[in-house]
Amino acid sequence: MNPRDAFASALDMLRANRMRSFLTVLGVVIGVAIVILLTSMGESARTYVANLVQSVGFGANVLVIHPGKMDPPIEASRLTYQDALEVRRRVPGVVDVMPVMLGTVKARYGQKSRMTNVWGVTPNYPGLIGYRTRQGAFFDEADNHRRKKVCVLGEKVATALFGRLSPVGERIRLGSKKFLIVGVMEQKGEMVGFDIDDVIFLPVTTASDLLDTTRLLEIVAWTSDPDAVGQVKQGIRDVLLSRHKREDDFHFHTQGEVMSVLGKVTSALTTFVAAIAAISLVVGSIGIMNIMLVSVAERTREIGIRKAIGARRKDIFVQFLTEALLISFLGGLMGIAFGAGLSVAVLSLINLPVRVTGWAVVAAVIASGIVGIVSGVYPAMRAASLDPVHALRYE
Amino acid sequence: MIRLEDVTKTHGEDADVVHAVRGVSFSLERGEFVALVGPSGCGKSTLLNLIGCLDRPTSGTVRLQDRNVETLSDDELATIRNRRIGFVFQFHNLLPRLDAQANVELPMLYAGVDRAARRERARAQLDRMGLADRVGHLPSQLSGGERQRVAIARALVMEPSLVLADEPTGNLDTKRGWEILEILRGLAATGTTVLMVTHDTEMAASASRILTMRDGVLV
Repeated sequence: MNPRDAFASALDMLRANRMRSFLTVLGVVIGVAIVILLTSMGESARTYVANLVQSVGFGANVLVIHPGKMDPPIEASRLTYQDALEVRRRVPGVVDVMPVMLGTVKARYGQKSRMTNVWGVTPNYPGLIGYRTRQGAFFDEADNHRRKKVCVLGEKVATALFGRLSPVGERIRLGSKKFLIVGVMEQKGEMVGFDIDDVIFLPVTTASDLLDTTRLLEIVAWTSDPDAVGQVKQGIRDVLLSRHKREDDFHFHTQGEVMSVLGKVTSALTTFVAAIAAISLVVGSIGIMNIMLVSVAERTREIGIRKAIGARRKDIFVQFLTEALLISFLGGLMGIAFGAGLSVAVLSLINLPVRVTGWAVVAAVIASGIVGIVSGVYPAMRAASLDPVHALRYE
Repeated sequence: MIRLEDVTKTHGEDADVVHAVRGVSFSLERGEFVALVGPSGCGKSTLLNLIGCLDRPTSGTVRLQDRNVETLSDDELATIRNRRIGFVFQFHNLLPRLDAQANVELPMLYAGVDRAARRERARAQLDRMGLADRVGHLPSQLSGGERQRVAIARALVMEPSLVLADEPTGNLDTKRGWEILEILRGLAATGTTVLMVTHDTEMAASASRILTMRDGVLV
């Protein structure tokens, strides 16, 4: 019997036992679907974080200095703009720094108002992040130096307050003070649940005046050489300790640290997925083997008839193995479709990029092939070795 | 064309041993229509299985066209059954999930006949059995006589030189039974050897030769 005939025959068999075949493969379907879903989610999260790290300029040569400490807990920020300037001036290997100050303010233009975030940054911000103005220009060092009341609007703020009108050159009220709008940023979208378009950028000095504080959210430092990050970190530490009366009230984040935490989470997830996959596929194999043995017993007479009219061992073996393979492949395909559908649904629901991983699909197909062979060989051998005389007598 | 020499067949072992066939010798010539009669349990079916190369004798030799069955492998026997022998059983004879056409195509599937030729030959054979309008019917949708004619079509589609029929009319009323008998007689007339097991003495009488079996021996 050639493979095409064996396939057609197996398909007929499956059609004749639709419900039973479906229930048989359910184990494989669920196993494969879970694997596809979890790997998609893992991949999606990884892509998301990687994009995020990329998009905020968090490269391998970046150090983020956060105020505060976990142990002993120090919550109040004592990082200041002066700290940032001293780090740039005194630490060798630091090519640039960016202080970030964060606050909330009510912005008003005419009758319209909006509660929004204020980011106090230095003029190097757009260049370092790869972020451009849509209109006008970002404020410059002179604005920062002179504590000028200028601002740059995020896309969403501009639209909310000005609609289709051009905001550049207009003045808006932030709190009780009036600010000149010098630029509008291009649209950037949301990240980490934070809407970067719903922001007003101010020179950090101006923000300090407006918010009446010197405390920074963080200082971002860029080094010339990614391999020198450790050395630079020590340099920054020395400078900040000397400025903070030797008090260790800050901590660092580097891309390497973030990635290694992410790597740990991902590998734990992978192990977990592999365990689930293995268990469900083993259970699936047992289910298929069981139903194949039942099928062989039920069709003993059929096997006898086939042998009487000229089927060789090989023909019967191929017939039953093909059935087992077809069942498990269909299970695999259904699992892939089901898992992919579930991934799309879940990921778009929680607003993550939809990623169905190719390797997981390939692995699922290979795994279902293995399941088919493992569960089909023994029943097929039993069928092939039946004695035609006994098989024919079987009622 | 087929010759049995002192063939015996036992089932079981030691105390439970059953001598189904004990020392049978005979031969069938080309174009003969032979009836095999005898009471139930006399070894007719066992003998038929031996002649049909479904089984091997415990002792003695079965020669099919001068080849000793003893020396052939299981797969070689399967091929002989496929090419040389056509089987018609009493009932449960067709695969229930396959329609008439597919049932008749089955032996050609194992002979490696290509799809188009299978179709054509199965149609022609069913047509010859007067079943041209039944090709797409499942066995459960056919009458007993029609089923038996599909089985004959399947037995003949590989143009075997020997047709073995195990009580082919046992399940049919007299009229249908005689129709089947006429088909078998016609086959013998065109040169195919036919061996038919039957309980019906009248039908046996229409054969060109009658072999009577009792307690595993021909009498």
